[in-house]
Amino acid sequence: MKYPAESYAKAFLEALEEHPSKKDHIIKSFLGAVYKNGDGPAIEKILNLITQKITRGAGGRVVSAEFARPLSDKLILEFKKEFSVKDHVEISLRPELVAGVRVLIDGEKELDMTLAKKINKLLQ
Amino acid sequence: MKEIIEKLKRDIVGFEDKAEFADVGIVTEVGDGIAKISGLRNALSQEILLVEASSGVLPAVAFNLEESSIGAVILGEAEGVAVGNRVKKSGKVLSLKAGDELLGRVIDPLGEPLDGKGVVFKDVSKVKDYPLERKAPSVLERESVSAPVHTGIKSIDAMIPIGRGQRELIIGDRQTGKTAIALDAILNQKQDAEGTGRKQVICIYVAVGQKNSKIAKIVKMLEENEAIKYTIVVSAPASSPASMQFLAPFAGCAIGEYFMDLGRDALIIYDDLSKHADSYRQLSLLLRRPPGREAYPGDIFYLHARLLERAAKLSKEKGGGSLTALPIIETKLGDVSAYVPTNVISITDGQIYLGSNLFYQGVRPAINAGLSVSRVGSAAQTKAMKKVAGKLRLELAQFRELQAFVQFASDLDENTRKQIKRGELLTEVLKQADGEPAAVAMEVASIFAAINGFLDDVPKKDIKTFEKELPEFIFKMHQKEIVEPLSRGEWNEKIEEALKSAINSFKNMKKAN
Repeated sequence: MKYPAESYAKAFLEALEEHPSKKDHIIKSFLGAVYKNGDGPAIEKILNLITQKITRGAGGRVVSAEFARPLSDKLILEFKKEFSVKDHVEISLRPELVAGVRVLIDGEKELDMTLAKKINKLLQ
Repeated sequence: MKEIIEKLKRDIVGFEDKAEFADVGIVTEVGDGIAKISGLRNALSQEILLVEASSGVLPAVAFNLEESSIGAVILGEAEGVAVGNRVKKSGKVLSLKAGDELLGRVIDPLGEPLDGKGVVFKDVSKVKDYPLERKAPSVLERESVSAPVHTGIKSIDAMIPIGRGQRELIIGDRQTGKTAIALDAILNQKQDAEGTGRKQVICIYVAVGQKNSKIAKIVKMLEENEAIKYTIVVSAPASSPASMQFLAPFAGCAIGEYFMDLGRDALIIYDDLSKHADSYRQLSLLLRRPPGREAYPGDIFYLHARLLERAAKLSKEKGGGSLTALPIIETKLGDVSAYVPTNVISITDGQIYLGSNLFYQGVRPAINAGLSVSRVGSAAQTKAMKKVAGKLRLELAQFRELQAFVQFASDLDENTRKQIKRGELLTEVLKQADGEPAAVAMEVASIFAAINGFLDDVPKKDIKTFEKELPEFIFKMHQKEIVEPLSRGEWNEKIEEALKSAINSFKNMKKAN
């Protein structure tokens, strides 16, 4: 990477704060700058950092929930209701977890209620 | 079969798994055996982290604790680690299981056996956990070096003596016999402990970045000479990851400390610290630590200082054990002023300098007596060795000076010619083949004969035979009055007279033949 993801995220957020009226232009030129610098492969990392910073700045938490099987829209809504509106909730599918759910909060705390974890523990 | 099913049933019925929040980290970058991990804010420096990779749970060591991430070195093959893998804390710092059952084994830096002889510890009750990084003994816990470690190499035991608890560097270019000296020192420990009153020295050979074939050759040689019984080999060959090469000396040191804490004497050979410094440089650069001179990181001095400081002679209150360190450094084209050689020279208590010019002149071991020094070992030299070796260094130094001077002179006076002849004779006497360490009594007898002019009338070509046969003769004919007291390090007029008469009778016998 030419520049660290942290620096991109900081620069983007500061630019938005300083020029709130040019929001669309900033988003467009930010992506252009990332790809121009050859840091395109790290875009996911940079966007995750921006999400984290915005959510934490608003007093919320970044919640990442991994389910073993696809959820219905109703269940997704019910699940999201368990969290505050300030929280950023991401839901993804991971069949290798066999059954259950794994919730990661702010990239630091994890609640693992999957069958894969139980099987691993039993086999250990 | 029924028993297995019953056991499984018990495991399933008794299985408990409470859902609770746990601290985790996430791998954000991985490559070249290094992983960058986000989260785990409470991780300790040098703590073992467990990476849940696709190939199983892999241990990693937390090296860099940064504001928002951890730089960790993955121990072992890092192929299965991917971005997004979960990482958990183990709460433990890197340690190794140490016990007497390690003797005779070849292990990797994590204590796993490499010799195909099965598990290392059959009796787990006698095993202790030893951290790889430990504080060196304090000033109060130490005492001065007082007992010698005999290497079986005449020139070292006479001129550059090593004491138990000392750190003596072996330095020289490639292929000058550095490892051979260290191996002779290991081989000699068996005969040095027999009937001399000195404790058996446990040996640890740490191979860092060496060829697998070389390590196999060394292990075979130790086995053939029955030296493997009191030796442990810690192997991190050139094919192993840099993390393993970096950890190997610390693992060897932890094993040495186990024996030292038991009040025993241990000898550790780090072969070699140049490659160890290279592996640390590799890890540091990959961790993006700022490079300094020769691209080594800023704490390269501290790395070797903290390792070698752990060699010590403990006080009686602490059990009186010792750990002697023989680090090896490979120089490039004899350049001792490079970064790592100067560092290690200044850390150790002396150095044995091997010159390639001497090696190619046929002087083996190719020890340069002028550049070699032992700063504390003379205090540990036995009385007998001190008595005979006192003049040796001076005579050799004078000889070297004259040798350089007379290269241009054709006509020499009688005195100078005598001195040169004596110097040549001493050089011949100090020559020794690899893997043939001499017992201390025989070393004393040989040097005594050479220094006191008993060999002056022996032709240069016959010195080798004389040197070989004289000790055999003394061993067979004068065991009680010469060999036994000399082995214990004793020296008095009676022994001196006995030695003189033994040498004379051997010479007479040779003449008669």
